[in-house]
Amino acid sequence: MKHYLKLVHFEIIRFRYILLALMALTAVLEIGSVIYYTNDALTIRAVDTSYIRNDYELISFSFILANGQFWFKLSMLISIIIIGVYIFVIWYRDWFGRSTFIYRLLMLPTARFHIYLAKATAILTFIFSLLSFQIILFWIQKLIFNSIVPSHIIKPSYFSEHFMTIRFFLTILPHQFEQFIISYGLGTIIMLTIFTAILLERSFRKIGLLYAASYIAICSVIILLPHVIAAFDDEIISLFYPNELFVIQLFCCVIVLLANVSIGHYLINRKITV
Amino acid sequence: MRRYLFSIVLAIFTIGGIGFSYLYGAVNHLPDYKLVTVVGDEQAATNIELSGAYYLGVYSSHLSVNEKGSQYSIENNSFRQQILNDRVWYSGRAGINELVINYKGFMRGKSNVNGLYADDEWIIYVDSENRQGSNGRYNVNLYVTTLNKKTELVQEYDYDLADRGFFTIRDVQLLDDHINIIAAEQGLSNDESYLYSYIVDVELGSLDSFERLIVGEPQIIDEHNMQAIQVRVSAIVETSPTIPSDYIVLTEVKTKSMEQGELNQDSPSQTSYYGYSYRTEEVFQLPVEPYDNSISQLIHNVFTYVEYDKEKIIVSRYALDTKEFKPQYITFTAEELGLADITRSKRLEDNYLYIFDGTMATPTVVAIDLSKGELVYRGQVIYDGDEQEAEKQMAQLHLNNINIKLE
Repeated sequence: MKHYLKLVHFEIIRFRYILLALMALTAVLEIGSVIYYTNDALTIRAVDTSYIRNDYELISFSFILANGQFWFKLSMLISIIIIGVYIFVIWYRDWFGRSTFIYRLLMLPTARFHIYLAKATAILTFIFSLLSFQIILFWIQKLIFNSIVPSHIIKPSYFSEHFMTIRFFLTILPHQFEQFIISYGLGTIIMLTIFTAILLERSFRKIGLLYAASYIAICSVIILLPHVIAAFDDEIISLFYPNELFVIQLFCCVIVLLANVSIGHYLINRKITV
Repeated sequence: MRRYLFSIVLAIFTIGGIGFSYLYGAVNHLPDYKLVTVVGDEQAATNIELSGAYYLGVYSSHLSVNEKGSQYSIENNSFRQQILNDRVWYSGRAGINELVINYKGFMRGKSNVNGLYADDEWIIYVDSENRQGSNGRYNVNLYVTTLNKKTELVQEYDYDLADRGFFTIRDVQLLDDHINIIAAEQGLSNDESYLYSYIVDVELGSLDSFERLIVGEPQIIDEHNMQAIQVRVSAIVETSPTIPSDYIVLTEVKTKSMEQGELNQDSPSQTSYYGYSYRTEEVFQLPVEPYDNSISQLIHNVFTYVEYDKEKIIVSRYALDTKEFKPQYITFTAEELGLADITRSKRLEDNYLYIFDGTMATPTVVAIDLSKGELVYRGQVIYDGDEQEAEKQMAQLHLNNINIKLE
């Protein structure tokens, strides 16, 4: 356990500057957007008195978010792309970096599978830390908004309203905790599938690329099995009751998860050699 | 430990931020509303669910309100719930859930509610498959599956019907060992439709006969102005497949068409109602005057017809077995019901008429017992929170639909 945690720390430290840079970029884009659109809304109300006549003088934080949603989505998209690329880079940098660092990792006096788990844990930590940062940023943005807008024209808004204003937020931070577990559980399975595919490629080199691509395709078909069957023959799917379909879907995801873990375990312990 | 400070702080920050988000979201939630009883029996409100939207600043959020409280769509929209609610249009019909629980194997894959029949001895399922031919007509496969509850014997029959219009099952009844199937068939144009009666022997599985229910002739040419009159015949059937019935109600709508096969949208339609007896195969016209705004229901062989406008509601009944007609036997004005506008959402369920007016400052729902002709329930939606906020929160609420959840 101690070795595993040290490896997790090691992976986090390697990525810390990029992580902090992503947080800084997100903060700049989003806070800048809030300040700009808030001042813009105040200017319009100062110039166009029809807003006051028509009871539009109140400004809500959700309104500002709606206006600046392009910048919010852009900042989140950049973070998602960087993390998505790093899922591959976290492995390949150890082979193709300045020194073949993977050899040193594999020679460590710890179970090799800890390397696999540590990299997975690190990626999840980066994702959740950016998510957490986004939540904290909401509060900071709202404080900035409250400090700019005179209190008598602030229209109160609910916390969940902010997430509904930018619908993308509901995808990355679902309102229900159950959906949070489902979404990020599925995301974890996808990440582990990519990890295992990378290990296949690294284990078998040229032919490994074919194995990796085939493995990803097979896992995709298994996870999407009910939808694949429905696409070919709707009648077969109609034979199952909704609760049975959910169990089948869950079972498919568990199968892929177990396959990822067991194949990854085998490859990193037996196939990848120093 | 200082070496790991960054990772420790990051982990605490991560767990704390996400945990706080869900905890705070649980407290700072969208406003709660509730349906409360003003007059009458609280039991009448048990199945009432009102739906609409809560208007936020920029967007609106769909919600439903009942006697237990309110629920927003974003609180009830997980992947699991989406899968489980996938066939709520099917499982929400009266009697279906009970059949699924008690006869899970037989009910598997049977999704056409109109093709279901159940009584103490039999469960029968009828479905059809349309395969379009090169001439635009269809070759239809008619499938009949029966389950004898006592012997647990399942029998399956299928029949090929050639050169038909688009075919859908509308009702299935069992009378004297004969399965009576009412099917709607599209005519030469999309606006034409006929009804056919098919008789299948439940023991032998033989298709004994089929005939078209003669209610009106399609494409009748009016010789005076040379415009064709198109007729659409549809069926009003029992509300639940587990209620055996000897009758259905046929609705005939006649419309003048400009050209052959095209409906004249500007020409008024003429609607007539007919009863059809499965036993005697008699078609008889009902003395029910069609009204512009109306809803109707057939339950336990009684056809209930509700006509309404903004100010009043009038209910008539026709018992198809005794041919007893009670014209306008229930009348209520909007004032008597405590509503501003009766043209809003209504539901006929079992022997109750539910009317909901969401346009009022306090949305109000009433229930009328059709057997007694009495108002048995009036309820209102209130804001379930700080009274000082009530007026503002009620102004943001826009409910517009009533649903009756039977199970």
